[in-house]
Amino acid sequence: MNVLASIPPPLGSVLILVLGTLVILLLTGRLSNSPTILATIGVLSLLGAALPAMGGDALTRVSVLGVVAAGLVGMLLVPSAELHNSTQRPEVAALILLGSTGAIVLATAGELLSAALGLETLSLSAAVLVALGRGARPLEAAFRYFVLAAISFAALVYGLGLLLLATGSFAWPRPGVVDPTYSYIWTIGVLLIGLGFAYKLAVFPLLWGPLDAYTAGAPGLAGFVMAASKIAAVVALARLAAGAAVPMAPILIGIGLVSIIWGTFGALAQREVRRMLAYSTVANAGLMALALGCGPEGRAAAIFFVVIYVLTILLAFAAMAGRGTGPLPFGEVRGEGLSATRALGLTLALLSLAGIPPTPGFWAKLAILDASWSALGFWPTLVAVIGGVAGVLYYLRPLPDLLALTRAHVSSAPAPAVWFAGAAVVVLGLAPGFAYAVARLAIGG
Amino acid sequence: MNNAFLPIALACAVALVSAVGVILARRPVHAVVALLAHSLCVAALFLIMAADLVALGQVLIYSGAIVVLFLFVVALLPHGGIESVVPTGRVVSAVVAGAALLAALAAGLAVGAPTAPENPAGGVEAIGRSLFGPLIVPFELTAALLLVAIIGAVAIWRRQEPEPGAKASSRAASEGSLAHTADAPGATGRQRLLDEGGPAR
Amino acid sequence: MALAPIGLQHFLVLGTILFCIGMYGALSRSNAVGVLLSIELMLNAVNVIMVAFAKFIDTPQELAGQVFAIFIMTVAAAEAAVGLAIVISVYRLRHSIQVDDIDLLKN
Repeated sequence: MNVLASIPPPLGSVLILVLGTLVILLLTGRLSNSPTILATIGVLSLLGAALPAMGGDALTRVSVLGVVAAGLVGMLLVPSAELHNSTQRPEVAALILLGSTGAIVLATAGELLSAALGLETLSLSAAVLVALGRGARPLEAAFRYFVLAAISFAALVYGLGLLLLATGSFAWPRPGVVDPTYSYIWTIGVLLIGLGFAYKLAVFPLLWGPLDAYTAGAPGLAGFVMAASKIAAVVALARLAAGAAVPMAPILIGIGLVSIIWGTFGALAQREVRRMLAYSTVANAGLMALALGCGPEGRAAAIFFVVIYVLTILLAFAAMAGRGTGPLPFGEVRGEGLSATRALGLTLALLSLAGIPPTPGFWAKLAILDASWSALGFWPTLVAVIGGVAGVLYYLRPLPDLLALTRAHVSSAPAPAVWFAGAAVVVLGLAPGFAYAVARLAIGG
Repeated sequence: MNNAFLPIALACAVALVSAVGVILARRPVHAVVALLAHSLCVAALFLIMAADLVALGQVLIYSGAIVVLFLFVVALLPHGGIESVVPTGRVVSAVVAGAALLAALAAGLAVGAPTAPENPAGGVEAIGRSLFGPLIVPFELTAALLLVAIIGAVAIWRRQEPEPGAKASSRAASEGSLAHTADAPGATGRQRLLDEGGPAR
Repeated sequence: MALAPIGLQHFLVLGTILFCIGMYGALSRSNAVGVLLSIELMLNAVNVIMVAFAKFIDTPQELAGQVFAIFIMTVAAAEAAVGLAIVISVYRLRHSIQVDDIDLLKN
């Protein structure tokens, strides 16, 4: 666990991302007319940012690679993103790079002050990315997202202040270093910091902002926001729970169970793909929170789950990108003119989200159920299983339409983002053991 | 410390009253002015606690920049956004949430924190040594945060500008003022809502 | 003065009360500008606690509380800029900054 507490932030990655941002900002005038070059610069900065992190430990590598994957999909979708003002693609690309910076810092920061700043960088760029989507809905979703983010960030800062008071430093909490006089303050501080991180995960009490953002933002950008936030939040919560299992674990388990139930019922009630995906996100975040409360095994399972989940959800959003920011009702999937590639991509993503056996989603859910079974026993695992079974019901509802579509439109240009995310999901489906081994290594268990 | 009791008590009292004013004032202008009073009282508290630099920052950044920014925005919004009737459901939930937190934290803090001896004042040099020494990484990270804020604020502001297809004539107008012409509210918004689905290019 | 000397506890309680006032405002104001003002109040409350902390407790990190307060101010300024930009944009679209009007998604 000591390894977890002392990771230096991969400053090289941060520097490269900020450099890429500056290049984009300097060339804004030129780049707004040439989206391909813009996306190329963005992709190169993201790939460059992945390199310095490879020298770090396993957790750094997993989190940086996950965030970079989210950034890549978002960046590849920038040329076709549904913006309210289509001259703003350079700003969007810059914000994706800066948001990735924030997510990387949140996941890998050496102390909590940096982590808090990374979280705020991620939150602000996420709110702006959502706000720039086409129409009035993204802007209003962004407002709600921003307000809840600001409130939860204020709670985090308050908690960080209490932690500073109790321990005298910004270090990640560790068991056994607290003066008993301050243990109450320390506990509240840790819980409030966890609350701030949990907002990025979008679990039960803190979800109307993220729900709106995932539903209404331009799909590519919403996908990036969701993916980068979740991976950073899970890693940060795993590190927090590793150092402060006493107040965190039971709360995480409770929140996780409530989120699973709430998200499942919410998703079952939806008649529209995007809102269904948004609600199901809550159920999946609940699964991750549940696993995070289950000791080292559970934390490894949660990191394994979030990597697979993030790639899958990126595939789903990439497949839906380019068709506007409006809802996509189940019955109209067929009429939306999704190309064959996109329909296949969405089908694969939905199968994996539902946890149908050969897909990586199955292994991810299995890992979490296994951890929950060995740590918590029958009842919590039963709730998770019921959530998973209900997931099959709601995820597979748009499938008949999608399959009909695949037969109808055979030829279409491939979308790079869909290919990239699709390939990642397929690879993970073929070699889940490798990813799980990496996750276990990352958590040091 | 005892001779500072009166100023401290006064500053605390005004800070509390003006904080309540911020959340209860019906007119945003009054709320902003209350925040200004609050911020100045807090700055006075900081001065009493020998935190000179933070007090300066409080006056310059909170009172000088943030509150004035709020004032500008409130002045830009025509009818200043007078509060409508507050729905009771939200009030109840907020009262419950606030009271629970208040009770829990106040109780915990009162029990947990002993009164420690006072620190000798460290001053600006100590803050500088911290910022450019052990805390250099978070300090530099604020650069990324501020960059996001700049890009974000400008990008959201420019969001409603007409696209190059509609061309430059109205661009100047929408940059110059908060002209509603740049984006006829309901119509354009809804039109664009209906519009979604067509490719953006 | 017969009262106990003013110490860290008093400022902790003051900061907590201010924080909760801000939180109540952020959750209950129906005016978007009011919500943002309340959020500023919450962040400012943490500053009060942190400065008192730097005054009354010695840490290995010099004046950690004051330094933290400076960071919080930076964040507060960034939040105010972005939040107000969103509010103005919403106003330009809908001619209203009532939070209850900002709910196209609910219908």
